[in-house]
Amino acid sequence: MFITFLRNAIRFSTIFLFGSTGETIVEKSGHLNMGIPGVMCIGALAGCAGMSIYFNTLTDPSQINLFGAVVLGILFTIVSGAICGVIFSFFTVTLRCNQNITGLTLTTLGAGINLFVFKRLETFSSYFGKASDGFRNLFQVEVGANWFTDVFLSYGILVYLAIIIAVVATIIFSKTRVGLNLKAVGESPATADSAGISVTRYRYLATIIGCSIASLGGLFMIMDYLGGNIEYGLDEYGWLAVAIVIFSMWKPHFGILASFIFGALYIAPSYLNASFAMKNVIKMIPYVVTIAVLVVTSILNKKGNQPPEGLGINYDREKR
Amino acid sequence: MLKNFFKENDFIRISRRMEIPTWKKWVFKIAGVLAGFLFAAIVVSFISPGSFFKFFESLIVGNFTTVRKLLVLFEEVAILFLISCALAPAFKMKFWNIGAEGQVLMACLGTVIGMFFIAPNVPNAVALIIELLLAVTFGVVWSLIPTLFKAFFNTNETLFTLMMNYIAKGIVALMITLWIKNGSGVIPVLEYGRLPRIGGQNYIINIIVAVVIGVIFAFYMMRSKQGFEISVLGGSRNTAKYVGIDVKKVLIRTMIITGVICGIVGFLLVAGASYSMNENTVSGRGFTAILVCWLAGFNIPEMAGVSFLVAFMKYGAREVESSLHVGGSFVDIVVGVFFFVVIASNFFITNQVKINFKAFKKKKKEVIE
Repeated sequence: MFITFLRNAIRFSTIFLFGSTGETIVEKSGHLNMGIPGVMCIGALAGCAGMSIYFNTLTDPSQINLFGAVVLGILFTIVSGAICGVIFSFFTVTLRCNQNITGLTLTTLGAGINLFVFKRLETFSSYFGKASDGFRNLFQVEVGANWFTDVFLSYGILVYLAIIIAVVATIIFSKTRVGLNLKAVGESPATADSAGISVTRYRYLATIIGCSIASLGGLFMIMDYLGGNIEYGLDEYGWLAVAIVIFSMWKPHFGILASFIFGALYIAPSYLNASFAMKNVIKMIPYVVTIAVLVVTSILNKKGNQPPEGLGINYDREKR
Repeated sequence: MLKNFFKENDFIRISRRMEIPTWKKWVFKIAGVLAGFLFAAIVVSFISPGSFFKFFESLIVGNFTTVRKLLVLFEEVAILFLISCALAPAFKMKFWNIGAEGQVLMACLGTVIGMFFIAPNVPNAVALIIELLLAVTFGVVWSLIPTLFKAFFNTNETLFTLMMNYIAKGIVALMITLWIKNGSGVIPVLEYGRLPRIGGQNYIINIIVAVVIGVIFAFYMMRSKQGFEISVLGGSRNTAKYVGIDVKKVLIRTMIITGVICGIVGFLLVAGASYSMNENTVSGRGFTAILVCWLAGFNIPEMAGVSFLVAFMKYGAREVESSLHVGGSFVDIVVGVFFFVVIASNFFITNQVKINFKAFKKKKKEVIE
C-alpha cells in the first residue's frame, strides 16, 4: 500500500517537475510566464497530434512501433513547446508587451485548443491507449518484484527524463558561464547588457528551452499517468507548477523534492480514508504552503532565496 | 548573410514613440480590433472550411436577435466591466493583483451565506443589506491579505494573489460539502434574499448597478485627488515619495476599493443572477478582466468598450460553436486569438516602426556584389 502510494506520488510529481524546471529556467531569465498551463496543454496536444499522423497510416493498434511512437510524441511536444516559447518571447521581448497579459492569453488559448482538438482525436483513443504502453513500459523493470525496483526503477522514460533535466539545469545554473549570464540577465538586465551579454538572446533562448521542457509535462500526464486518456484539462497542474517554482525558491534540484511533496499531497486524498470535507482541505494545502514559503522568504529577505530582481519586467534599452 | 541582415537593422527601424496624436492612436486601436476579428474569422474557417462569413453572421445572431440574448450580453459586459474597474487602480500603481477571480468568488460565498442562513428569517430588504455587507467583507479580506504582506514585507503580489484564487476555490468546495449534507455537492437554487426583478428579467438590475458604479468610478479615477495619487504612484514610486504620498497607505486604500467592488460583483452574480454558486461561478472572468483592463490602458470608458468587445466575441463564438457543431472550448480559442492580435497591435501605439526601402535595395546590391 505504502509502496504503491510512494510510487504513484513520484510518478505524479513528474508533471510538476517538468513544469517547474521549465518555468524556473524561464523565470531565471526574468520572464514571468503565466502561460505555462497553456504550454502544457499545447504540448500534450501536439504530441498526440504528431502520433495520430503516424497512427493514420496503420490499420490496427497492435501494429504500433512503440519506440517510434514515443520518440515521435516527444519530438512533436518539444517542438510545440518551443513554438510557444517563441510566441511568448516575441510578444514580450520584441513587441515589449506585458508579460502577465501575454502569459494569461497563452493559457486561455492553450486550454481552449487542448480540449477542442482532443475532441477530434477521439477516433484514435485505442491507439493512444496502446502507445501509452510505450511511454510507461519501454524502460521499466517489472512492477511488484521487490520494493527497491518498485520505488526506483519502475517508471516510464519521461519520469527519468524529468529528473535528469532538473539535475542538468541545476548544474548549468551553478557551474557554468551560461548559467551565470542567465542569472545576470534575470537579476539586472541593464547590468548584463552593459557587460556585453545579449539580453534578447538569453531571454529568447531561456524561454524557448523552458517552454519545451514544460510542454513535456503535458505529454507525460496524458500518455503516461492517464494511460492515453485524452479528455482531461491540464491547466490546474500548470498553475501548481508555477507554485512549485516559488516553493523551491528558484532552485531546480530543490524542485525535485518540492514536486514530490506536491504530488504526494495531490494524490493523498484518494489513499486516505478521509471524509469528503477533509479531502478538500488536503487539496488546499499545496497552495497554502506556497504562500507560507513566499511570505517567509520575503520576511527573512535573504539573498539567494528571492525571485530574480528583474522578474516580470521587460527590458527596454531606451528606457534606462 | 541573413544574420547580418537582421543585425545591421537598416531595413526595419523600431523606436519608442515620445507621444502619439489621439487620432492616430485610435486608428491603431480600431485597426487592431478589426484585425482581431479578421484573424478569429480565419481561425474559424480553418476549423470548418467555408465558414468565414458565417462567423460574422453568428456574431450578430448570437448577440442581438432576441431580448434575452441582449440582456445576457450586457450582463456579461457589466460583470467584466465591474471586475476591470476593481482591478484598474491597483494595476495603474503597478500592483499586479491577478486574484480577482478569488476575490469575487469569496464575495459570492459571503452572499450565499447570507441567502442560505439569514435571508429565510428576515425581510428581503434587510437580507439584501446583510448579504451585501457579507460579500464586501469577504472580498475586502481576500484582497487585503496579499496587500498587507506586500506593504510591509514586499512579498511578490502576483504569485500571492494567484495562489489565493485556488485557496478560495478550495474553501468554496469545502463549504459546499459541509453545508449540503445529501452529498450532491450542489447548492440548490436559493429562494430568499434575491435582488428584485425589473420587468420580469433578472439581469437588468446588474446592468444598472454597473453603469452607476462605472460613472462614479470614472470620476474617482480621473477627477479626484486620490485618483491622481494613484497615477503619480504608477508613474514613479520615488516621485510619489518625494511629494509626500504615503505609498503604503495608498496601496492599502486602493486594494480596499478593489475588494469592495469585487464584493459588489460577487453579490450581483449570486443575488442578481444565478441564486446559487459553485467553484466555477466566476468562470475565468477574473482573469479575462485583467486583459480587458490592460488593453484599455486603465481608462474607465475604454474598459467598458473592451468589455463589450470581449463579451460580444464570446457569445458570437458560442453561436458559431452551436450552429457549426464544432463543440469543445471553441470560444476560448477564438477569444484567445482575438486577444493576441489586439495585444500585438498595441505595439504600434507605443513604438514607431519605419521601413526603409532604400536600405533594403542597397543591402541587396551589396549581397550581390
